[in-house]
Amino acid sequence: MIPRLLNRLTPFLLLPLAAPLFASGCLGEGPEGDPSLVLEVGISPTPPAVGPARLIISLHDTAGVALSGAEIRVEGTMSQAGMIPVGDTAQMEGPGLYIVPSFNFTTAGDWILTLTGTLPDGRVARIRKRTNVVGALHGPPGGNSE
Amino acid sequence: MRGAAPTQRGYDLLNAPIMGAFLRWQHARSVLQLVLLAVSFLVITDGLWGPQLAPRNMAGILPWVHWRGFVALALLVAGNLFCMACPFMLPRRLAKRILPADAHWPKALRSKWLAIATLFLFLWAYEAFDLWASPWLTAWLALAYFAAAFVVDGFFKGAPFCKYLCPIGHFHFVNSMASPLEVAVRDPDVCATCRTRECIMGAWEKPRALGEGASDPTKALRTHQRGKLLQNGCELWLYQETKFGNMDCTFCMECIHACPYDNVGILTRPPARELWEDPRRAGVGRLSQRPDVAALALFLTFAAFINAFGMVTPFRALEGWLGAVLGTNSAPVVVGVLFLAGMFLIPAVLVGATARLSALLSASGRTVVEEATRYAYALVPLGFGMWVAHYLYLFLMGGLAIIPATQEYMADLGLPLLGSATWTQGPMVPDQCLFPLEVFFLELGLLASLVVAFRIAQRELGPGRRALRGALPWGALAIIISALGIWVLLQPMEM
Repeated sequence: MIPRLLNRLTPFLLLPLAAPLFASGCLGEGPEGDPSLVLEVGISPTPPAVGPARLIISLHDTAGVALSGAEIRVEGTMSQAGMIPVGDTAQMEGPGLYIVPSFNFTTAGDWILTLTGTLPDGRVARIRKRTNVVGALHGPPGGNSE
Repeated sequence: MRGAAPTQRGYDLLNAPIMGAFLRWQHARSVLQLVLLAVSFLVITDGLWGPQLAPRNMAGILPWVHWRGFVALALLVAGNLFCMACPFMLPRRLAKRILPADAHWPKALRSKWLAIATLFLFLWAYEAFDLWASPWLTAWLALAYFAAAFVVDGFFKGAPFCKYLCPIGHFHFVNSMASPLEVAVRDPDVCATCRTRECIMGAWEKPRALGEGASDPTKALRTHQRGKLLQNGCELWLYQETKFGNMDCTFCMECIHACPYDNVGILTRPPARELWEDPRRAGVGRLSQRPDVAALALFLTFAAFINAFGMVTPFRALEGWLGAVLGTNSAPVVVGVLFLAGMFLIPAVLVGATARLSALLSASGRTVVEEATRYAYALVPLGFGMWVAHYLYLFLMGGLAIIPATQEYMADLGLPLLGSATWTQGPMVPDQCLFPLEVFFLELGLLASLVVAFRIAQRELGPGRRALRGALPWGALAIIISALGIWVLLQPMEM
């Protein structure tokens, strides 16, 4: 009787082994790549609305020294699959300052921007930033320009 | 096999070259299930341990873009192929071996009310917890599905998970009523002479038959006298001789393999015909006497529009307004209230009023519930049209993302065999084709709904003006819902 019961309960006794699964699944947001690099992005207008927005990007090291000459690639995807991603490359405007003049947010909702900066010496900085793009019914964006 | 019966009905897919031979193979379903099991493995592993960016994760792409797109296509051009290939049934087989599986599903739960509740929970959780944007939650949803099928069918006889609980399966059951394929008998006369009924009893070493071979030729063999079970019969209790239509049919093909006369096929039929015909169906009964099945059909129709509405900007504005009124920012609460209103309250009012009007105009003398139970199926094609429009849109828009996602998955495994991922794919068809395609499917559904409403009215009221008067309110309701659907499709998306 008991062995038979154990046999039937085995799958359930194994369930605790699945516990490590709960530990995974965190969204890898924030900086990646070389820890000595700091990549930041601001969006104008804030909050962004459907249509073009200006991305203001700064790249410096942890000591605050502006870093020029990097190639900075921006990829925007919606938080859900099924929508077309948007990609663009930033232009350098000054020491450590890079601009994407017209990043096109095609749809309202949650967006995730992935910025990858590659310096001439091969060092790479990467950040992810979530932003909510408002739709037409929310009225004109009330935020300031950065 | 005791000889093949001629096909007396539509074209039999089992006679098709290559595909027919494959489907006749006893392990065909297992192969299809193993393919989807492998897909589930990708979803679960990437969902739990992969990048938590849904558009770049198998758990974000495969279930919410590809699976839903293929389901819509399969139901439109074939039938319930995804229940046929359902991977959740594989652990269920194991459960049937190691768990008792001997309890009877409670009589009080032998209806579709529970399925309506699980469907509502599924759709509500999808919106309230942004399941599409969370690979991790999606992976857990898949695991929960495996566990639920395992536990429920491990303790109960038959396949109650499929028949009474599974939200995905019930989505397939209802929408496949408009599909062009059906598992059905080829020659009813063969069934009339069958005494062994393997299609439902299963095929045993010693047939259940009365007469020859039995120790007492006047009695059927009891289960323990039949030896080993060689082939399952239908576990959803659809006896082929009186089975009609796709409701409750998982296309599992057990009946096809069990029939010793090779008399069951996968036959073509006029799509949606079963919506206006009302014979007594094996395992289901008459649809006109099943308010629960009618409620399921109505629920899925309205859910199609509410689900699509959840993707556009006015829904977000409504959410914001309701949140302010209720004094909460909780998405589960606000979405819950909106979905309860949109999927139950408003449909109840609209359908109730339509049924009352229909009964009055046609002088049918029926109550609102009786009238609605008969005509509810008229709205199924319209709802199906909206599901197809919605799911195909997402599939055509983002289907190509599977290429870089696979490249990245392989690279994450340390096997960058497919090259590096490039996330610059566009839609699968030109942008400007998407909206006309959506409208086409929605209006095709409307057209079919109008036909079904009229045919139901003819069935109930006979030919002539009375039928027209009975169908008129249902046609008007379908047109109004369809117009609202077009309005939804015209709105800017916001997710």
